[in-house]
Amino acid sequence: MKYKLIFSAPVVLALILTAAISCRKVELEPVDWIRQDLVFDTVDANGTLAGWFLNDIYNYMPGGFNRIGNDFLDASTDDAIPSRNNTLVEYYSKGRISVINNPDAYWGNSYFGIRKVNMFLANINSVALPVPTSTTYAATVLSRQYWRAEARFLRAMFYWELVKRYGGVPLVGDKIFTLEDDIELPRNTFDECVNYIISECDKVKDSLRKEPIAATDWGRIPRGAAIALKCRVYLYAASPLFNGGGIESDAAKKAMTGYVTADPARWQKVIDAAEELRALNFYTILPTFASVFTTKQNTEVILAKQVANTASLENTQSPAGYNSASVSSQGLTSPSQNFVDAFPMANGLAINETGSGYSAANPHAGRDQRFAATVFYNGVRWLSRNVETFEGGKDKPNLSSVQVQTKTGYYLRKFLADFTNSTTFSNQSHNFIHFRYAETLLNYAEALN
Amino acid sequence: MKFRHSFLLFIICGVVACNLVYAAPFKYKPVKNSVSAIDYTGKLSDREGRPLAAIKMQLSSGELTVTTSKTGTFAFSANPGDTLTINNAGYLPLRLILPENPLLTLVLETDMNLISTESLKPVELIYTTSPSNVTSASNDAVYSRDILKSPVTSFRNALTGRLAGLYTAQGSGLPGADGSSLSLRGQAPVIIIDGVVANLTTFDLEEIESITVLKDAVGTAMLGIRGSGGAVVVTTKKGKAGKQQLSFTAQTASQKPIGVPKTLRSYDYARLYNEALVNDGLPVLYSDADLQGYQNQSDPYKYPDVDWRNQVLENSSRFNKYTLSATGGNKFARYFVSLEHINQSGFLKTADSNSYNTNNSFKAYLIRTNVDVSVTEKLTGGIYLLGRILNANEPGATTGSILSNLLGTPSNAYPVFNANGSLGGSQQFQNNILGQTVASGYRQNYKRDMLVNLYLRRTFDEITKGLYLQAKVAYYASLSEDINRSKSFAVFQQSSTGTYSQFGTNGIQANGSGIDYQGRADYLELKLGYDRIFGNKHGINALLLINRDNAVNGSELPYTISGTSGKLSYNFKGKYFAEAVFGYNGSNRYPPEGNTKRGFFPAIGVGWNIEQEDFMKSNAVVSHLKLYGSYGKTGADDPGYFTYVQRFFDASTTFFGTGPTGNTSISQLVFANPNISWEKANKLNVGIDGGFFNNRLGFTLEYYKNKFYDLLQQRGRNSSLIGNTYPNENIGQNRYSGWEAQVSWSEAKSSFQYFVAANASVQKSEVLFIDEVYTPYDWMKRTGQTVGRRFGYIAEGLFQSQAEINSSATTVGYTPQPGDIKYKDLNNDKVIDQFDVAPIGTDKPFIFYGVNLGASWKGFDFSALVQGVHNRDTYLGGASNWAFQGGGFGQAYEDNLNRWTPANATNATYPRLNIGTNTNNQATSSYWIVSGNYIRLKNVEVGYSLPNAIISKAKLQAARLFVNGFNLATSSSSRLGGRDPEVTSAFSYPNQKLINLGINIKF
Repeated sequence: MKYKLIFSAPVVLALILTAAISCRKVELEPVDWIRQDLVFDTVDANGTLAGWFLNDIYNYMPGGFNRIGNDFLDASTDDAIPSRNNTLVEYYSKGRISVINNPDAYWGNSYFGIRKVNMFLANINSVALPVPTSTTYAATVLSRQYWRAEARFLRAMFYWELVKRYGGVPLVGDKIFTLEDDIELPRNTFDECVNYIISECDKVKDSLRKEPIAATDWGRIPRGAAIALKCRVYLYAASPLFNGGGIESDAAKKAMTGYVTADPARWQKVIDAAEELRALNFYTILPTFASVFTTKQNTEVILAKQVANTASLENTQSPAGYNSASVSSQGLTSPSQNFVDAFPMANGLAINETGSGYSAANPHAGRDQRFAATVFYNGVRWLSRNVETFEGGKDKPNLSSVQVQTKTGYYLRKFLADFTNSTTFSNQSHNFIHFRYAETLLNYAEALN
Repeated sequence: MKFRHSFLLFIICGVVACNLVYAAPFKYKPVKNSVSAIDYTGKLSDREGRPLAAIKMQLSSGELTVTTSKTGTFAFSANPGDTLTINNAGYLPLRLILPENPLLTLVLETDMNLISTESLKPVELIYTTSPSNVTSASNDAVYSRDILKSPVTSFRNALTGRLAGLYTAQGSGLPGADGSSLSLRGQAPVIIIDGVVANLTTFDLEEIESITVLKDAVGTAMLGIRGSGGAVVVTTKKGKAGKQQLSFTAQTASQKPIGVPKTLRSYDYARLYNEALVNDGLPVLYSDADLQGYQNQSDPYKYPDVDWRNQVLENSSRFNKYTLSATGGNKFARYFVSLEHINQSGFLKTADSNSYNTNNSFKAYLIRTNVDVSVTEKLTGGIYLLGRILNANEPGATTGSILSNLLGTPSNAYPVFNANGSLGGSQQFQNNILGQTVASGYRQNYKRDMLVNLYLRRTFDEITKGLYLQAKVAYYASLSEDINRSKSFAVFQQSSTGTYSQFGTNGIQANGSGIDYQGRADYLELKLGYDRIFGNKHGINALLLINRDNAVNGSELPYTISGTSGKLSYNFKGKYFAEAVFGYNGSNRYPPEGNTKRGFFPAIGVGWNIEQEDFMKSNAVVSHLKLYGSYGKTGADDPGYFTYVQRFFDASTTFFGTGPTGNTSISQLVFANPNISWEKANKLNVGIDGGFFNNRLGFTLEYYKNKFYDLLQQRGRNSSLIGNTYPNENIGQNRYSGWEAQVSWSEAKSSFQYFVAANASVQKSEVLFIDEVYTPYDWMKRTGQTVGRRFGYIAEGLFQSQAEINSSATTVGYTPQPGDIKYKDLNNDKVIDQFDVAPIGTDKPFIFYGVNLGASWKGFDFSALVQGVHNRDTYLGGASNWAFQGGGFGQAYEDNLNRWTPANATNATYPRLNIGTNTNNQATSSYWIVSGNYIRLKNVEVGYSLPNAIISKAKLQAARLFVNGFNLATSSSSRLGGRDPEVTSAFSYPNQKLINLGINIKF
């Protein structure tokens, strides 16, 4: 009897401890987490989370402006130089780009975006629709049509960002890879990639929103964007580098990086696409150049990557002398004299043409309006004082305490809002324009040549 | 929660109830199991003749445990030839073969922590202790006396150089956050305090009895899924039966920063800056007049030359520590109580005009209460409590920001004060460092936590001798609170015309508080043990326990490790022994639904005490000699936070509409890994441990070979093509192997004692598998290299001439000039690129060692610890080593003076100067690897104990004055430019050298 009791004590305790461990009623895994079944909810007819998922795909559109270590890509060309020393953007001008050194790789970004498009397309059909008799049914069906088309356009655009950088890349179609899949995929040829992008644009263009776009939908993909992308792809494809003129000598490699043989007829496709956009009879060229960039919605812009209003461009590009406790003004870009000289006079003549009216003593007078909207030069008014880019001036003081200042006597004004008579900057619209009607017209002109 | 409480109550009731049934008044009845048994009687006392009460004596027949009476007397019946053992903390173990004479007078020697006796002490294992001669666990221990020699706040810093196999690296000297990282045989060990896993290392060092490292599979298998890193077992002091003893220690130390890199003063800075600009093909910035101005220091406003370190840092700071402890008890209850106050001041300057403290000081209040109660002869219980209040203070701008600005601000950047008395600054440097130090308000951190540890232990000798059951509950709660009372301040720059431009604003003081961290953990354990020696031959020690450790961090769901573990060890006459140990446990972070998955981690060990053999009995030289080995499997649990769930979460906001309106976006997060498991390791350890010449010469030699596998890492052959980030998968395999050796010699003569003890560890590692991508050349392969091997170009010195450049391979997109680093073109394609990247730095085994020596003569004692590291690399890179980083605005250092110039072409230790980034010279290469080897006089202590004649007059038991020092002298590579070899980032708070004066009184 005694022994039985004693033995039972540890046994009972052990049982209780085991019970204590196993019988607890607790949250076993985080129930607040969103999983795929909730993202593509078969019950929610609004498809709220599916819409959020699509929103995220827009995040993979490339940004613009001073995206290379805070410098404009233009600072690697003869249009400008960076005001700072030893910047990342000089990798281009100094030939440091290599497979392991690429400030603007965009490889992972594209395929991350493509995967998300494929996930969206594979699952969006399972998201519930309202009952056909409800008042919202037609609107929801239409919005789902837009959603699918937007996603497919973005996928085509991601591929284009890849093709333009790398030539032919692996086309994954609608495939959503898992960790078990073999992803050592062969490259598709340049031709296949171009055909895929064009065919996607053609397939989705009529399913996209038709212009004019409602103010609330501004920034979503419009029909014109599909045509503009087509036009751009055709232009690149027809250009000498890709149109049989590639640098590869091996035929297989050449097929990856461009067309193997040249075909001048490819220019015609650029013209057709440009005509197609013109035939929409919607897009126009704005009379005031600067307002293309500062008016958020206008008829020249086809597609821009939307961002919150900021003063970041003003802060990084305005002349360095305005920097103070209340104004950040870093003057990171120094446009070159070549660039300045390339602007014609208001009469359309180049500055070195006879009759242009150009005066070397007063070189900034009488120029095309795009000049003043693009470049800060000495004497132009900004933040309630005149810009001083002469040696020793406020914006080029040559002091050891101000180490970043223009190297050319100019600063970059393009894309900035008008702060001529302000004392400080305020947040402004700085959407990066991917497609602009003016580009299509220039494509047209180039193709006609 | 409710359930858990009632369960706890049940355990306690259960144990008490069991006891009530059997708690008959204890009275030992002699068991006459042999006709020749004798009734022994006697008295146990200490060396001074004081009787020792309530001391447990164990007889080798295993049939009984005897406890001495209040007056130290005892009586039992046993056979002559049986062994009597006494293992009591604070005294040396006693082993006695019972003689024919039944009258015994036994004396326990006080444990003086002599090296010669350390190896005889029982080994503190994780859930039990074992006599040192019958365990195969690889272990090493450091005891109270050595731990107390270091004037530090975290015990991690007191372990450096003292334990074989344990490498420490102290990366920061910031008061309150200066604990070293610990690496035990290359892994991060788990810290266990009195049997409970608790990562607390800053507490009263005087409350620590011993710190034991357990290094092999047998030592850690019972930890199961937490065993792979090894264990650091901290055992706190427990009360002893006897007269109450009070101990008071007061210490005060002066601390000085060590290893601070020297920066250039303005003239040299400007001169070198111009040179760098010219090298870059740019116009110079400083005119000759400027340079002259800097050299003459003619105008402190126009040509500032500020020694910022002098401006904002004090030369030394204080570290005061007061400890009061009391211990005592009787047969029924024993206690150890300790209170400590630490007050460590920072090294920042303060301003009297502030009514508040802005220094980066640290204060701690620590309490420890260990109480053991013998409720009856069979039922004991205890409460071990640790409470901490840790308060830190710093300037509002934060110490980290000040340190980083100290390194990033050239001497000529701006004057401390302008001519009109305002704080100086400039467009580029808008944070005046003095302003940050004394005019930016303050921030405080208040942390308090407590660890409570309760146990009840009931022996069941009535069922079978040596059986016991123990229940243990521990609770840890912690809260860390931040108070922000910082403010911004304005700086001004005076222009050449005398006008001032303002940067920043004089803001009002913030008044914020927030919870920085809160967490808690509860621990339950039920242990059934059996410890017995049968017939003086067969020793059995068995243990079976179930436990559950439930930790809650902030808002996360609890992380619960639960399972069972056990141990069975057998020895034959203490001559041969074998152990089988297992852990079967796991955590609740596994698929499909937060399930607990458990792994089985077994280990076995065997050993042979050669000196016990008959043929060795007559050998007077060998005191003990043990051969032992173990092999087993251990685990490391790192499941992440439910990483098997494919989660979608908010991504960057997207904007649409002309508003524009921000829209929620969600994105698929990193791929889930539904197959995630814990990491594993197979560990082999063999060793020999010996003591010669009555243990005066001691040595231990161990070899280990550990294979870690299923290591969680991203697969090497990954591609962005998949469209998402890869998860960590169980794919990696590493091997760590090495040798550890310890040798000691100690001798005690009547008034003179001395010892020398040395330990050295040799550690090798190898990557066995990392799922590597195809590499066209063998030198690019990571597999087969040491773990964490650095890869880069192999530097071949500096280009000396254009002719040399013309005939050499060069980097893509870079036009080298004389003075640039020349790299080895491994594949001979005349281009330096990714195909020329190879392992750089040393591949020799990592070695670290410590030599501890000391002597005592009459009342004087002396000890010293020299510690060092060999085959260690340091990479001199980044803004804390290179000139003019940070976009060209950064600092330059005295070691940059020896740069390459045509005049200093052959002796240069730094390439030609550049502004900002230089893609050629700053590429990862062997040029920047310098030896990180060092030898350090880590610790010296000199003490004097007042003679008895004096202290007895003052009614004291003991009084000792001591002086000790920490980080006293270091020898390291001259290319470190005076930098401390341990502090790799110069932006860190420097390590400190301490000279500490103290007094200890016992009464």
